[in-house]
Amino acid sequence: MGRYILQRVTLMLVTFFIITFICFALIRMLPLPAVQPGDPHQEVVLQRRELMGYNKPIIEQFGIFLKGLFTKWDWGVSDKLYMGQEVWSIFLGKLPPTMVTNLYSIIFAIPIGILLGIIAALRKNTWLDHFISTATMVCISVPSFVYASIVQHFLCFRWGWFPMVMATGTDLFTKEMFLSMVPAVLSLSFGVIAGFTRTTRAELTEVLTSEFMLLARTKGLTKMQATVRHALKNCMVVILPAIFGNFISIMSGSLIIEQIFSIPGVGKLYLSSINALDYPLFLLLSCFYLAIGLIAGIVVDVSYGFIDPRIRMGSRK
Amino acid sequence: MKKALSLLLAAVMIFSLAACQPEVKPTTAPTQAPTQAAPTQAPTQAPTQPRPTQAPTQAPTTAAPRTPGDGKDNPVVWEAGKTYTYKASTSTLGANWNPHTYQTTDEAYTLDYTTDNLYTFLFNNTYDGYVIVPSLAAAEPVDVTAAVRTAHPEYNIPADATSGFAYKVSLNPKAVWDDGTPIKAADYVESYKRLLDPNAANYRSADALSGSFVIANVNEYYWQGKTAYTPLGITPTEYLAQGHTAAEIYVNAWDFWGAEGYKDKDGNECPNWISVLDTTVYDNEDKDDAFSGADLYRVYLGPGAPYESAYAPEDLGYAVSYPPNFEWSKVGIYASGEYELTIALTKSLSGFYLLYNINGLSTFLVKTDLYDKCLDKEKYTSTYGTDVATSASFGPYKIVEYQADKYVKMVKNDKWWGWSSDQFVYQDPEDHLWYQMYQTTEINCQVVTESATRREMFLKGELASYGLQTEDMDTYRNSDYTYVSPGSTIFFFIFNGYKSVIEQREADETFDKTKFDLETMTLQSFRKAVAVSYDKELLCAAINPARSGGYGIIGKSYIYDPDTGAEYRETDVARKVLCDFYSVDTTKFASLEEAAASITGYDPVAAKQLYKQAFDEAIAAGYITDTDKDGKSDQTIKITYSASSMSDFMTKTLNYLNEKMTEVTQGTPFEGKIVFDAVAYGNAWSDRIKDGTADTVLGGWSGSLLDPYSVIKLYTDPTQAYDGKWFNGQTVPFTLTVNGKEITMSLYDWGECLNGTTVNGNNFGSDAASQETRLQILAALEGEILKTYDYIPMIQDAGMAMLSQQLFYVTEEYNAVMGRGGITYLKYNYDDAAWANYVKAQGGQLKY
Repeated sequence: MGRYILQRVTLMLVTFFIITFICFALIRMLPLPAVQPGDPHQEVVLQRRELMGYNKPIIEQFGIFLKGLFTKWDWGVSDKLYMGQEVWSIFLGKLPPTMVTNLYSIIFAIPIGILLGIIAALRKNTWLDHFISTATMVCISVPSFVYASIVQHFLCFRWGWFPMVMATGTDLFTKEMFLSMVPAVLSLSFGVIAGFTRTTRAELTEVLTSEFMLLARTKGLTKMQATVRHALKNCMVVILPAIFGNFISIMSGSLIIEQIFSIPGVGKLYLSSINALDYPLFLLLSCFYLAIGLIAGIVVDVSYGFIDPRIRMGSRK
Repeated sequence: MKKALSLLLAAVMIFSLAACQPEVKPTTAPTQAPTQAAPTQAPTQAPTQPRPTQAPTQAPTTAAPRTPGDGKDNPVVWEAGKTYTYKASTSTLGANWNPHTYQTTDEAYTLDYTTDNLYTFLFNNTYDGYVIVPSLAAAEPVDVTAAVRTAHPEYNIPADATSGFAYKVSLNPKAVWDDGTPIKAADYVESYKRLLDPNAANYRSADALSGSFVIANVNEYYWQGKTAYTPLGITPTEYLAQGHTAAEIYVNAWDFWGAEGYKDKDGNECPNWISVLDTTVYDNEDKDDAFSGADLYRVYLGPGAPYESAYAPEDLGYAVSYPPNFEWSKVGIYASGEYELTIALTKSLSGFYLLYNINGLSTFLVKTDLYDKCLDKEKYTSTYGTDVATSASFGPYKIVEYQADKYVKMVKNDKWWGWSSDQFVYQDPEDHLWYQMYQTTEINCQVVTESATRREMFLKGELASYGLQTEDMDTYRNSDYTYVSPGSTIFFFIFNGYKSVIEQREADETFDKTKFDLETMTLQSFRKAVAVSYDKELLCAAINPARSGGYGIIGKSYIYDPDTGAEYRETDVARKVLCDFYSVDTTKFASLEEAAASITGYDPVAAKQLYKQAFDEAIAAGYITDTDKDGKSDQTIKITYSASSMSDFMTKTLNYLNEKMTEVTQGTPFEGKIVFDAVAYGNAWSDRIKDGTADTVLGGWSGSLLDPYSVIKLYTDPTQAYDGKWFNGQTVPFTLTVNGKEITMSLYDWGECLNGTTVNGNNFGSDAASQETRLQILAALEGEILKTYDYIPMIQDAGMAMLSQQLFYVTEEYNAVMGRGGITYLKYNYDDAAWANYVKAQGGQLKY
């Protein structure tokens, strides 16, 4: 297993480097934001680009970038959205609100999702199962911004239970802040609950009809005992990697939810950097999401081996 | 059982009686609100406690008993301990408010509150105009042209100049930064030096390098060791006639040919400016747009070439190589005393425009010690003005909290000198008491991207104002709390008159001439018909009710005389222009004001006649046919609308235009034969109009409301005008009698003269002619431009916003310069605590 992990990590780093270079080259090949004819700032803007090294060959620019990265962890300076500020600092400042909101959402959603899945599986083909399954389909089909708008309008505006938008301030663990996050957490949770409900129901339904479950019951176990001790454990082969994947993706943020509830997170940073043609910021975020994707892949793959010892990763036999 | 029933019946009766009691409404119910949001008329305040927040807190200090507010020297001071928070929202919160590098108005948001000006605009006593008073300055600038010219020949002040080129400004010694550090003359000089640091390439340095307020030698300092290019401003023929050679001329290949990113055969990028003798060929990636500097000059822009008049003055230029190592001491700004600044200018400036522009000096003021700490000299980037620690205030407010993309909080800057000045007080026009300005104790602006969220927050009392969206208009446009603020833009139809391009388009094999026609739209009778086909007020009501009908090419709020604040559109000459354009018989009205007010721009009867006339002319010209002789056009006049993008607004606009066009053309030869068809061209929408490949758009120009004269140049100068390729103002002679003297010049030259350029000995710039003379010329030019019917004014831009019941403006009248006074003149009906209670009493949601 150790060898397998090492192989995967090495491969991940190589992949990361190659894709980063491709991203860097493509970004630097993009035309810079057009300077409007007649704009009195034209000469100044062009002069600044010269100073920022945009006119050097791309390979030389990449060398400068790598040197700064490895010697000073310097990801560059934002030249549009956050003029003059280190993009790494900007990014770090925006990560906590996104992570906390998503973390609350996962803590809230996963148990509920699994519980509903278990209920639906155990009550298969009853009205309860049909109700949960239908609700699950609705939750998966409807975009999250619809939930967000409904939650905000009714829970925040009409009934006044929660603030309309996330509270101001950087202390994310106050009561006021928690309450202000609830609408966003709820909005984010619908999709996660539905996903886990569907997965759990499908897996558990299959496992419950297996022969070993019949054996377990004939040995004298109650239905509850058989389900918890045997059926659920088998389901976890699929569910646990999904939980790991969700935990890793808590850093990715949600553009729509963050926008509606004014969460100053990374969700809309990526899109803003593209719209504003802020290339240093865009590159950092591209690398970040690339890293998230690669790490998530490894973690999920490796987790299979830990959950089910029968699965042997990277075995040549 | 009977007992139970009787008990139940009794309970029902008691409940019914209780339910029949009249509903107890809060005394501050919004439904009882009077028609205006003004404080004295607003019922939103508890009647028993009128204006609770204005309770005087100052005890009379003189022997004679005085009431707070009874005089300018004894204003009402806002009660200590109470907070009045201005709760604002924005969709984008700027992350960089460094005065030297910010780029957008979002980024400059906090600067409006945390900075002060050398000279400040305040309302006059009657709230119908403004006064300019010294603020960071101690007095008006003193003209020292003669003395500075002698002492500093390096400033190159013209030898015959006696005034307008150099000024001494006494500074206010009370002005300090928010940490108490005094602001001295050296701070202005050092700030300017940092702004113009040649290595920094600060974005806002461009503002100091050109325009009407340019300090002597700033370009020499900024561009030292580099080459800068300046447009010729005249044709190459004229330039060569002055003794120059073609070797001195360069072409702006990026602007004229769009050649940014083009490369030569060796892969070298095409520079912005190329010598007109340079034969290096540059081409795009598709290899289908090759050119050289020599080609552009010979074929398009050089002497005798087709675009010599229209484009060469702007797109041909001369190079100026600035010598290296230019010393800062030669730049025309220096501290002539601890609190005295002397400046020398490259162009003369005086009066209003001097006071208006000299504020640029305070605009660029930075706290130099902090600034230097924030500057990364390796990358020449700065973190100054990016968070609380890197910000310094010298205005009425200071930043105390900031979170990127979330919120910014500002509180009163207790070190601001103005708190102890009797200058920042005003007399309330309602109660005639004197009050201290800036009642707002805290400004809290947070990012709320979604307009629906903003509206709901506003209705919950969480925001001070809300800008109405189209979907809100039906509900809130007539609210007592809704304010309309006119914009500077007039949106007009521009009609394609580029006949050669239209002919090319019609010659294209995909164009079916038997079904469609484009040429008819070039007929003036057709354009006249379109001009009277739409009720402009109804058009606005349909597509954007915040706006109103637009009738001239210069909008409502433009001021022709900044000294008096007189609005151009309110003058008789401007009214006469409109009456002439819309053929109003002024003899039927008591005054020009009444005559102009009667204009709707809508006359379906005249429109039908004009469409008939256009039909006859188009048939005669062979543009359209009527083969079956039914008196109707065989072709549909297809008008391509150049949209930037397709949107609900665009769809609504087009639907309205087509629907009303169908109505007005009923019974005419063009019944059902005129169609607007939108195509989305992105950012190229204006280029499409200018090059004749699209036919119309509702477009416009925005400009400085204090300078309508520069706006007129956008129509007379073919390099800027939308119709510049088919209407060359440089070749259209125009005669005017000015001060008894008949003068004939091209429209272009008239525009230039009006903006301070001397042409044939004529100059009607602000320093050279009276405002009345300039007004006459401006109106005449507007009338002449309208006569082309290239522009058909349709919409006067405006915005609508609601103001919370918590606060109100001292004056409701909108002033082009002052607006409604902004934060300076805001007054509160409730402090924060009282407001929270009030909102709660209304059930948590307010009615507007």
